[in-house]
Amino acid sequence: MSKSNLSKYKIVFLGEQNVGKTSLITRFMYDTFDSTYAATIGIDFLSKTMYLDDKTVRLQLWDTAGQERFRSLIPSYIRDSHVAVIVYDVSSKKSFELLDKWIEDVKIERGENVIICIVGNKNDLTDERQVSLQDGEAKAKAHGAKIFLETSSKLGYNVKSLFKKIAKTLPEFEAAGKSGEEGASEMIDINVENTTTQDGQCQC
Amino acid sequence: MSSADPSTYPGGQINFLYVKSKVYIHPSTRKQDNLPGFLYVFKPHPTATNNELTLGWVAECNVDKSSELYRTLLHVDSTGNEKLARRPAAYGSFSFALRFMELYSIQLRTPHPGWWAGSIVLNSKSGYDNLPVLFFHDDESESTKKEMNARKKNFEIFGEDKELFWGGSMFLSVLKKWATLVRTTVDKSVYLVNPTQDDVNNFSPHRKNGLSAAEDENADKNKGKSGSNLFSEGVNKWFTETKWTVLDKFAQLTKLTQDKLTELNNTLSQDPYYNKLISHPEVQKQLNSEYGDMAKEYLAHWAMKIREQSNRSRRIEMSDKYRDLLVEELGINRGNKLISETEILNAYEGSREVTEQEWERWFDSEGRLCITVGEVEERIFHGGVCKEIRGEVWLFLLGVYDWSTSAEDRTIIAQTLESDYKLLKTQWQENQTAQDDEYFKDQVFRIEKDIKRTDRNMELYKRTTPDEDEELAITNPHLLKLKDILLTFNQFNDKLGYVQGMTDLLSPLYYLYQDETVTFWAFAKLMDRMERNFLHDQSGILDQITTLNDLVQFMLPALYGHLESCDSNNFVFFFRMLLVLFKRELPWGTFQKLWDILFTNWCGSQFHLFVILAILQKNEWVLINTLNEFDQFLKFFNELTSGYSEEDVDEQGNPISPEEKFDLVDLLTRAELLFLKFKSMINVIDLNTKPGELSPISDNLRQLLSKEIVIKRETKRVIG
Repeated sequence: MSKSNLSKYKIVFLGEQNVGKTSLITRFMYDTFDSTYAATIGIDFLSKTMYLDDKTVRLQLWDTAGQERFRSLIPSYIRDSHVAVIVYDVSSKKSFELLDKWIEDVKIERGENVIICIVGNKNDLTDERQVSLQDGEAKAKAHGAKIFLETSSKLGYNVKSLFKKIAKTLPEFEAAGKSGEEGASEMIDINVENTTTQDGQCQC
Repeated sequence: MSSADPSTYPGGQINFLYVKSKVYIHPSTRKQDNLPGFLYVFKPHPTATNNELTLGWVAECNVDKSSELYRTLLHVDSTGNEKLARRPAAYGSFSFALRFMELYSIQLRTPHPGWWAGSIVLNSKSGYDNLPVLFFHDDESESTKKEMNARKKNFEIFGEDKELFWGGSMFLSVLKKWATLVRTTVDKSVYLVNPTQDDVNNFSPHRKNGLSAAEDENADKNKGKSGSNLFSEGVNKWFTETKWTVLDKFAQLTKLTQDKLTELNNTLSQDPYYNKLISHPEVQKQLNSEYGDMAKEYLAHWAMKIREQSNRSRRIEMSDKYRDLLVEELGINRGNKLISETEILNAYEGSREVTEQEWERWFDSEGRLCITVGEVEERIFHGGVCKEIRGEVWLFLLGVYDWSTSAEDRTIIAQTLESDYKLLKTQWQENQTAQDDEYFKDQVFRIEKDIKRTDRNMELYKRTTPDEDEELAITNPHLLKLKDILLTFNQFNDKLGYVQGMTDLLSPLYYLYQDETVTFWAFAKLMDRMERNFLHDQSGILDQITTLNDLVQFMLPALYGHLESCDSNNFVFFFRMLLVLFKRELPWGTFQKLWDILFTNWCGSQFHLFVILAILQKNEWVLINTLNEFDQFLKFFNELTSGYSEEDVDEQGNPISPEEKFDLVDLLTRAELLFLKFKSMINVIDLNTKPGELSPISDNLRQLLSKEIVIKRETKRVIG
């Protein structure tokens, strides 16, 4: 990787309406949460620079609309993506069932050249839970997802961990990731990280 | 009138039959340049036929105030009696005189009191002499005021075509004594003078190479064409026979523009701050470093901001110069008369909104519109409306009420709409089977999710209590009404149903009316225009992206080339602007003002594409010189309004509101001029396309000239 050219990695967020794609990104970027964030229409995109040791990468976070008819726009965004984060809502069985369709879309566009990451968001809604952690894990395994996590954008739970794990899979950090699996996370310093994280409980 | 020679008047005099003082010529847009003068008709000799009568105009300053001629002109004007005098000098500023037999047509452009004076455009048969547009300053003319008062006493303030009397219409009725005037059907504001049968019959838009206002099928009513023909002989020489040469010439023209643009932006590079910043070794290092992208994005926004600020101050402090610069920047070559001076002038008067009083003046005592729909549309297009009347105005613009209705008619219509809405609502609300339907339940879920996250920062839509748990139930009564409206719409247009993005269109309407029925019907009408954006196969939105692609290629070839070379010419970054008509990009007051303008369809029903074109044109330099990747473009357009910081202040240190920052007026001025330029280009190409030859203008480009809204319906219900 040439030093004068910062590596850019494209991460697309996919999933049904209202599962919390925008909230995940906003929590990571600004460490805030707002339940009244307007529905994403079309495509939004934010970028963030991450540092690790003496290495730096630029993450491009592509936020997409959930409603099916807007999906026809998405392939062009998936095309050169490195990571696809497919989100469902643990309180909506339907959003979980429709994961298959999203994964299929990604595989059609990217084949095996993409890291698939499955996220069960809104795990703070304990009373309304419709999808168990085990079901989520099983689905992730079945689809060969490299990362599976349950998160809560509302509480900030596991969000930073999610992005750490994503970073670990990128070529820049791959060596570090391979050398010490779990231990590697201590080497990663994401500039937005606070010390009071609610990280942990990695599920994969 | 005894004379030795019966074929001449004594002493070489002529006989003034009609004179009107305070008829002005506006040589520029500056008020101080306006030139008052006399419009006159005289009989050159006692035996002259009507065809030999002479119509002319002479500037006040060219008539000696102590002369007999001056006294005669005043006398004829004030008494209406004919009188002999010496012939006015044919020389002098803008003076002209021509015989009736040389007159081809007269266009009447009605006044907007307090806005602009009425004017007439004369076209001669030769088509080549530059006759100035004559403006009737009725409030300064004693004789006109006197006549109007007399008419008012007799309640005859409207002419034969139900239009208000004014100097120009009075002139026309005088003229009828001596000439046959035939009103044309293609443009009702145009009258042919003593036309031949051929003139009347063969009334086609492409007659002769001098295209007179009367012949221009697309001539906007009352809209300025300069006195001369739209395209002078000079311009026609420019464009040779083949269409490709025509296009090539336009490319050259645009290249000229590009040079101008570069020149203009050299001002930017002469900016000491810019130079200091750009030449700073640290910045240079950053630009070439791994952070080059970020630096570029920053510079792009910074450059845009500088331009915006300098534009604003240019407009405020030197409006004439601003206009000149903009006209040059847009490549509207004035000498070539691609667009007339009046049109340019009108485009610049776009910052005064229609007030409540002005709006009320447009209706008679029965609440019936007493000016023409075209006038209403043109006026609203140039300035929008004030927020107090916006709700009512939109009901007309969207077509809930027809313009021809009286207040009483509207009361009846409102009652019908009320009962129709109730009926529609009952169909789902009191129907358990309908409510148990899976699709319906899905839609309820979708709608609830979306209304809970639409414009919740507005006072009206806030939570009733801060800690209210909306996961359980929505309690804000306004949100509940939004939900009912959308579910009823889901029933009303059952093939389309509810689609994400519709809440963005509905919320501003509800905010205006805060009445369920009225909002529903306004929304249903708005959806006629917007339905194609929400189709399941996305074809309607892709159509617009395709048209935009053609349009940018046609109007901004240099920028298009750049975008193409960056693999970014698919224009998907305008998806959101298209989908909900700038609702997400612009602050509340600003997009509403823009909607006022778009809903008039005055410059075609797809003027929003010209607004996007104007955004591209305005930022052309920045886009070409600082950005070169798809994601950079996307980011740039997504952040058009958010690219400014809270601390932005103007020259006096006052904070700049988001409305000011976006500078809608500047953008709309550009958009209108681009539209006019586009229209002229199409006209020229059409004139140079031989009959039977395939036109190089695609149908989707041509459709941009149409005022009819493009309706494309969902054909079957699709879930999702």
